[in-house]
Amino acid sequence: MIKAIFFKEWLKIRWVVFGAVLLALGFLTYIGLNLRQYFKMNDPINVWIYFIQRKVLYYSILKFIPAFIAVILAIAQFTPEMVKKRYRLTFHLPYSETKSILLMSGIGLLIVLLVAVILLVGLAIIGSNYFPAEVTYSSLITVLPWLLASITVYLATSAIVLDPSWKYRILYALFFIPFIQSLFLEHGYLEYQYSLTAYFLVSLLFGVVILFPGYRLRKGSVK
Amino acid sequence: MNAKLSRYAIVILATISLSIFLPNLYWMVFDKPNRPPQIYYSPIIKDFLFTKTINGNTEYWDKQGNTYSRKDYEALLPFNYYYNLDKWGVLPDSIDDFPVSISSIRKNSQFTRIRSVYFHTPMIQLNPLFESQSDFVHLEMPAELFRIDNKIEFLDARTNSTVDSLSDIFNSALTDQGFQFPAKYIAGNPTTRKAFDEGYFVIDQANHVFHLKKVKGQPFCVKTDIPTDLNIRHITIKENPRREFYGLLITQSNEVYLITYNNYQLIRLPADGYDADTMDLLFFVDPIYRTIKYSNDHKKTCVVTDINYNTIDIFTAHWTPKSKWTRSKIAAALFPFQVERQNKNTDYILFNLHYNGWIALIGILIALGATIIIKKTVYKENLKENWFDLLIVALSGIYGALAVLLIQPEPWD
Repeated sequence: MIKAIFFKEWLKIRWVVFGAVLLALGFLTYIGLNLRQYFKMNDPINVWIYFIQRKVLYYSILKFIPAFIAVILAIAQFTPEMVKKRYRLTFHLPYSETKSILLMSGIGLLIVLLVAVILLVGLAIIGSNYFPAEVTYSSLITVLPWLLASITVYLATSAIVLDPSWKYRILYALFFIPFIQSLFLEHGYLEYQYSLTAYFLVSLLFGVVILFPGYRLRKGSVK
Repeated sequence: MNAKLSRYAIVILATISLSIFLPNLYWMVFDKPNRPPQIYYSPIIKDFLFTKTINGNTEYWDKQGNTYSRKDYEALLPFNYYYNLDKWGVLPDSIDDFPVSISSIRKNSQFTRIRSVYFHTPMIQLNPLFESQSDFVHLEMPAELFRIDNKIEFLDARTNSTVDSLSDIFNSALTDQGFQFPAKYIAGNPTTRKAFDEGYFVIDQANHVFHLKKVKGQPFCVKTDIPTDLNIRHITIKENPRREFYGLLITQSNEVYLITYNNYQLIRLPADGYDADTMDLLFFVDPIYRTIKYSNDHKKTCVVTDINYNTIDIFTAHWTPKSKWTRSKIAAALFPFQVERQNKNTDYILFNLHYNGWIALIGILIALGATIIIKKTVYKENLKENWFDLLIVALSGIYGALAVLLIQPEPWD
């Protein structure tokens, strides 16, 4: 049964996964080429000083990419389930409703994490090529809130798509956005050093938000 | 059961989001500007002058209660407004035997600011060591940055690799002076936009303060006599052609010192009540006085000393802090807490829950009452089955009430 769910999910999201990996690699390439250009056209020391003292993030173009991918992924994964309420077929399978829905999100989360790992590895390679270790390290830590946001965005979007009523979809969006937006407030590097743990702990709650819309779907709630 | 728990996860997330969003919205509508007074010491009347801003109009006062026009006010502050005074042709020839001219004032003035945010900002400590006795007039960026922790290491930006020859020379120079690695703290003024370079002040493991710079390509390293038991928290270096002091030093207990050119001897500045975490500090040097000002959200203190740093006079202006406004009390009654994500004393992003105290009980009771009435009469819910909803409202007032009323419980399995 697990294998079958994996296969079903893969059929829905394979093109999105392919596109997401391509997008992540594309943006990393852009960052690398952009830096290469900077170092070629300017005195390298001034480039260093610019990024260290002015706290400009040379990877800021990545900011919303993981969250964007997460939204597309969740839509690709859960919209087909909503067409003609196909998802309700799952409830007739000899497999627990909770387990199957968590397995589906789990598969999506793996993809979100895959994108995160690609971006982190890419930033580590680019950073160590052009900058002292301190700067590379700061880039990896600075993007963590954006990556955490992509996880919460994925889980939030899944819940929004899965709920049977538009009223609740809008309410979820209103109720999740201010918290998620809090992960995009930085102006420079390393600014979430002291609060990321707190944001992470609150984000854990997103792990189970999808069960309630799933339950409402099964019950056919229209409120 | 799982779905029920999931609903609570949504409700708690909604509560947190609302505690960010609703107070922000409230202050977007009800905030008003709060213009702190400017305070100066007039060398003409030997007393403090200050401004008051009421409804956008600025008034100019002295301590005796006299008011002035803007021009008269500026005329009493020649060391601050000398360009205007010169334009009006009223710049005095001398003040207390000091011959006044634009150039003489400029040569004898200096200004340093230490903001609270300097103590709460992430900064990658990789700095350029300038050639401090170059043959050329302007300072130039070297090709390397250096880090100092377990040793000093220079990194060449062209190759992104360490320059061992340079690192070795400076390591020996530091160890010869008795520097004990790892370094604890480094302060400098790493910009070429200054008249000359004084390098860096570095604190070693034994709390000794070392002065390090590059002279003709070679290390210049001095172990200063700055006491090791000061508990130094911060040093601001600011080169100025007056060459009276290298910069300001702040200790953990909020004492403020000047590091002078006289063999690094410290001069303590009078700054009682200064708090580095919440206050900005300004230090002015003019031809005949020294002024230290420090302020937070409800008071500003201005201390004036003579050139030997003996206090002449002190003036503190108070105003109503935002937390004491009626509209803040209303906010506190409405909102039991809010999540603070940013504030002006730090560059770090926060996640701080601020509780608004007992006054919030008013809002909580109203929210709780409204929730019970709506649940009973409109939704016709069984209160016992979802008693946890009421607990959430009891703890979070309006936020929880909105969350549990809008995300309604289902008939559970």
